Amino acid sequence: MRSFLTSIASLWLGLSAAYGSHSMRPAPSHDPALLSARIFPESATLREKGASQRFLVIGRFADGLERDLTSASRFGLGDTSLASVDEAGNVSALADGETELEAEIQGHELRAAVRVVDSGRETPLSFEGAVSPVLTKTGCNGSGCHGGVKGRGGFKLSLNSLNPREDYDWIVRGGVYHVLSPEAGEPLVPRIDLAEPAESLLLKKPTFAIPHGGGPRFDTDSQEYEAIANWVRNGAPFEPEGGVTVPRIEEVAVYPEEIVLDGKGVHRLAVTAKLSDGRTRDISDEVRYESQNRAVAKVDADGVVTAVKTGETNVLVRAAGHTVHARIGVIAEPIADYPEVPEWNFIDRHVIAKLKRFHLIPSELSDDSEFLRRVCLDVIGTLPPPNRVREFLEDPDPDKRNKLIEILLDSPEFVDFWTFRFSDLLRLVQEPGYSQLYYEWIRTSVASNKPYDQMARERLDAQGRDRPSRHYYENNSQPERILSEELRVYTGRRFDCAQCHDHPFEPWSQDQFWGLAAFFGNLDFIGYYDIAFDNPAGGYGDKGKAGPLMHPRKKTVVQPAFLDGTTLPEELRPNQRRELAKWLTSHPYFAEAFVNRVWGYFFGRGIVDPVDDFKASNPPTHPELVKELAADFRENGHDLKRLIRTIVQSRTYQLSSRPNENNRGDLVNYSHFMPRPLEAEVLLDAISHVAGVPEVFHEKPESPEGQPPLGTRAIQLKSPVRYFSHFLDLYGRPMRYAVPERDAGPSVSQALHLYAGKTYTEKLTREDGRISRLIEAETPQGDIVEHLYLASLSRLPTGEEKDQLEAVLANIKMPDRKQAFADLAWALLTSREFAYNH
Amino acid sequence: MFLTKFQFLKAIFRAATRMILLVFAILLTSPLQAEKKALPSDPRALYIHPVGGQRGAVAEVQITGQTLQGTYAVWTNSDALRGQVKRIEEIDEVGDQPYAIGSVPLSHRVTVEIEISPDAEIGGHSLRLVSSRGVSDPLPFRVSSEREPLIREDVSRTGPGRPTRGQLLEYPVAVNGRIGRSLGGEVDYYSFDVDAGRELYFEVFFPARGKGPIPKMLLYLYRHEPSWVDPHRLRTLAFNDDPVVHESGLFADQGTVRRARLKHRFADSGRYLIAVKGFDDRGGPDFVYQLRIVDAESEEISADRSAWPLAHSDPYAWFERRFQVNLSPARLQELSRRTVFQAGGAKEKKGGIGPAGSTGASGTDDVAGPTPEPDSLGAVSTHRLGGTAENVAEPAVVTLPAIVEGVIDRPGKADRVRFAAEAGQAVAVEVETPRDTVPIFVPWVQVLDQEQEVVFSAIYNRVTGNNVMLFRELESKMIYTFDRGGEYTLQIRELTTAHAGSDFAYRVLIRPQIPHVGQLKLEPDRLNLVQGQAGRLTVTVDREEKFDGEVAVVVEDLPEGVQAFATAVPEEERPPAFDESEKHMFRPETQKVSITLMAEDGASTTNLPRMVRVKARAIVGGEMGPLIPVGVVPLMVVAPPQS
Repeated sequence: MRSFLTSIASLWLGLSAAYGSHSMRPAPSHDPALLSARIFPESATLREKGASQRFLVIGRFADGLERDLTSASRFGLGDTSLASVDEAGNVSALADGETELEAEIQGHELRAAVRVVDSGRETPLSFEGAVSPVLTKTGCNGSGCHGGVKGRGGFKLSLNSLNPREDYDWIVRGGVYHVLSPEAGEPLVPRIDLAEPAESLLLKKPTFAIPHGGGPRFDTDSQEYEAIANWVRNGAPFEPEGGVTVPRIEEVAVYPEEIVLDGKGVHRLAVTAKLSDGRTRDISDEVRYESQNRAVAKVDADGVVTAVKTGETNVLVRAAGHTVHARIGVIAEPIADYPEVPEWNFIDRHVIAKLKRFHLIPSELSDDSEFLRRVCLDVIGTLPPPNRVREFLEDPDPDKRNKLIEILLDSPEFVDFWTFRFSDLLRLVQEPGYSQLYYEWIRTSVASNKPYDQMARERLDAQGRDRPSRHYYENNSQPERILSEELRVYTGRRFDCAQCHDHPFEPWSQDQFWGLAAFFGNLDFIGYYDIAFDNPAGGYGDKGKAGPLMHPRKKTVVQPAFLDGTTLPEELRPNQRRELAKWLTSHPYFAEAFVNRVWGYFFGRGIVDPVDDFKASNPPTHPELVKELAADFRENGHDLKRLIRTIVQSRTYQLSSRPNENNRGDLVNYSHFMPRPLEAEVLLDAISHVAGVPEVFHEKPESPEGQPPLGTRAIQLKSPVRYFSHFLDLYGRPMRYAVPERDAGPSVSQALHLYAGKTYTEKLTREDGRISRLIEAETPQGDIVEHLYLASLSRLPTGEEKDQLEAVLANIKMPDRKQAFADLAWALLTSREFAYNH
Repeated sequence: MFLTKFQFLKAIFRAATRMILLVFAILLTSPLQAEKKALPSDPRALYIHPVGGQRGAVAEVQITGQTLQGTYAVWTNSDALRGQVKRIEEIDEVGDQPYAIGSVPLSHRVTVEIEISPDAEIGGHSLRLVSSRGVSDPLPFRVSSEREPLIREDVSRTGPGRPTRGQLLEYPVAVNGRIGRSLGGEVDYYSFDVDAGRELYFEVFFPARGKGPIPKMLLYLYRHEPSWVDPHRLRTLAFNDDPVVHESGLFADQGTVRRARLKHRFADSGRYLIAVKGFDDRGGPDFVYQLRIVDAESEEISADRSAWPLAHSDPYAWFERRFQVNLSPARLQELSRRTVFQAGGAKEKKGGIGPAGSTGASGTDDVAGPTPEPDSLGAVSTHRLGGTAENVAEPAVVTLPAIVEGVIDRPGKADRVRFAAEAGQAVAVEVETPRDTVPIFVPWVQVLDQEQEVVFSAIYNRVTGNNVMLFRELESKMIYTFDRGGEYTLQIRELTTAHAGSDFAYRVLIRPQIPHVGQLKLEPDRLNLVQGQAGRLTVTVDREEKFDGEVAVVVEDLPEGVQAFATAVPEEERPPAFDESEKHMFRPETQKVSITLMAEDGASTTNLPRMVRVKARAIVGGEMGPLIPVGVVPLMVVAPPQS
């Protein structure tokens, strides 16, 4: 028996180790040959006095990598009277005319056209042109400083100069910022001194001439100091005098958008602004660079990126209210001859293209057993029964995977599982009388494969006792709470911060938030929140008083307005939620957010992750893929089943979870399937399935009453609040009081439950359980072992496992045999191979 | 031993768990035992099973309750039902507790035979049990059509977890059943065969008693459809979407809804399952129901949209605040029978038609006595609004009093009429929904001034509970006194902008206010007087439209030895209202009249209930209005219980 224990333990350790963590290997060094080179930009116009342009030289090498060769290149100009160039490839204007920049690198000669115009004209002085870039570049208006929610030290700036006019007022007029009032608080002391510019707070604080919580930001002899001092000396205008209009920055672009570095790689970035007059300008020296993961790559104030260790990150570039990013990959070893990888659909095209660029080789295709278990858990949240596993594994049909996918998509278990998924997303919380109708709406919507945009419109515009109107109850009918949730669900964006103040990290203003919230401002209820309707007199609001929705800071009535500030015409206001629903479901955010969420269900992480946190500072790993998935979803009737089919039919989804030597460290590029823990409900159902004993749920821990029909599975439970389950709570089911974030992470309590919890122990030895039934039917020992493997892992035992188990089991007689099989089942259930979808 | 270390850990856990459970058990047991309640002294019927019988048949039913020993007769509210007590059992086993009535001790189960006359009215009747301790409270009993076979649930086939063995039914049919278990999430499954294209109608009645939670049941329609992973799988086809969970209080005129309905057209021939299940996965012996399955084209479908259609109307019923009140030109005359008018006609007051002076009514008959004919009320004109937009652009002008009828047949439609009112003119507005009603069709009446500003609306902002919660209710009746004279617009629309239909019909009566006696609520529903003791009847009087007269109440047909006395009862203390600014528009003033009935020591005991009639009469300035029937109460005089 001791040897059996040892066998079980080794089996258990083996099953668990297969899905352990992995470490990266250091990159080997070598000297590849330069194949080609190019210069960026190929032409540039330098406008006005002092204008400059950053040029980059980039080479393509035999190992498949592109490298920044700017610092290794030799530069020259055709006409040095028109412009000058330094060793770093920066060209500065001297006189009007046209010439050529020449660059030479390892025998490759490159040319770029340079045109200089208005070189004698000073740039008109303005706040946006002179001061805003300094505030951004030095981080003064960052979210951690004066650009934060309440500013800092009473001095508030808009995030990254999003609102220059307001910034100007706070600097020139002074005053203390208050979150709940539009009025400036005392003292109204200007932060500049026109009479003695050097005495300006705006200069003395950042140079640390007087104490400054943010420390020194620039020196008195710096360009930044001079830019501000010059602006103050010239009267600190917001705009130039004489009606001259300074073009605003409308777009910002970073080059390159994607950089792959080896372990020693260094690469410079160039940033170009598109102005409101249609021209472009190099602003590489006026922006702020931030690495999102300095453990992978760091970036300096000039935009020079340096590899640190293998991985992937983004460098954010902030300028004039805009945030763009460059994706940075640091690889271990370049692959010169990338293998041919089949593409089954457009998902593979995007994923493989990036894998190729990042020199990652995908794993092999999953075997039938791996695929079967994975697709069943992902599509129907249910393990396949042993007879179906055997049938599938023995089926020689080359198209059997696609056929299985269709069977699963058409199954009632699909309806159960996706009703459960939507119940999570749409927050089905049990309240007597409400959840039943809401649940049935979700279930029938899934069963009929109702277009997702239609579901959204029905939910947003729900009136009377329409089934989805029940969800408004959960938000206590407050427009701001409703809006936050709807935006998070339907746009994948978190606007909540903008409820109280302009969003601290994103360009969303408080006005935009309340303009959208006003679409729910008339939502009202008759009789205990029962009949939902839009009351022209104003909604339920605070304490039940009907009245118009008020802006919390400006204390003015808020009109329903879309994100771009367009207010809803008066004649459409009787149906303003319907109008919002139309706008929302036709907005690009809508489909992107949903396909990303569904992608997250299947791959364990979203293309944007977290799935409901789309923002400039959290860019997608595969931007083109999320766009094409969204377009395909939108153009094909917002069809959930089609979307799922597209995902699970991709080769990317069907890759093995076993990494190869090359892709072991990849966590975000889908080079191999990433194992992930089963969700609480799915795990509990899987255990009940293997044990052959359904879980009995009830309403309260101390009372058996309120039981759903016998055989009800965890994924069929309507509401987490309604049914007590210690197991489900332990494994992270959300209570749905907010848009759920599941916490499927391991815990000590889970570990203890594995050893002693009823779910793992009592079920296995029940008289009506699977093991008892198999023994009573006098099933041969080997068949029982196979049966348990098929039921739990959807595979047969390996030869080694079989041999070990048979040897030990042969010496065990009744009544110990039942306990032995229970222990075997326990070992299977507590293995990571069982508890993970892989 | 296998996995010794794991079992060691398990043992520690289990020991700890047992200890905790033991402590809980000790903590929980004591208070529960302390709360055990004593049985009442008079009979109490708590639930009935089955809940109905078929016309022309004999039904055997069991009535469970308290203090039912010695039951010797069955009292019904219809001559078409005759009952006979067959058996009385004492209940001493501890079984599933009734859900609705909670943890009260049950003492007896009485089996009775109900002979149902072939000409009995179809619908809801009531039964009471009679014993030497008195008459019980009533229980509902539904009589079904002889054209619709009535069978009993076969519990061996419909029990928990047996969807594949559902009792096979042929329709039309009615089935008496019960979700009898409070555990196991019992669902009763019935199977039936159907041809493609046929539409069937399913409804389940579930009467509620007691003061606890109300049993609610749901209907689900399934098809047996094995799936790839589960050979016993059912596919859900439909679910009853009726507002089954609505209870009184949400709308002034809505009682507990106790009927779930489902209509379904079958696309494919085959065998299907209809399931009856308790809402919230509940069950218990009082979860009794009657399930009907009929062809949807059949005339057997009740046109009565109430939750529990009665076999015959209640002659004493008088309602004002409900959307299903019958509004006709005779409404003013009906109201005038509940007040006192001046001789020679009503006096026109600023506040409307006021009761004052002498009356022409002799007031000797309790229902149909001489009725005042107040000429000044004027004839009620009826205006039917058709079309779509024309009455919005240029609303018709009506003269008060008037009835406006129409249908909200497209979403967002608002019907309007104009009328003139003088400063100080007091009007009452009543709304009827003759077909679909709340919460399906929610008619919203508003009166607008010439600037199209809302003057008053049917939405009542009501303070409830602890005086800090405010709920909006949509009312079917409101009163208002105009501050300014001029032209006004009455607008009626569906509350939402999404719903409409050919059954969204309304009728609105705008009339002068007529101060009158409104609803008269009589409590309790029966009285068992012990010789030498007293019992009390209470009549709650609604003073409608500022009726400020007196209300006299009389009790008639008392048995020998029983006397009635007007009684002063201390008023209940109520917390001060938080905000009652609108209440006067939507709620009448109420007042309670108490009458104590005293049985003399020597009063003869009664073998059967004596129907005591209670009447009221409005009195203004000494002038009397007609007698108004309040209700009847079964009363028995019983001997003191033997100790």
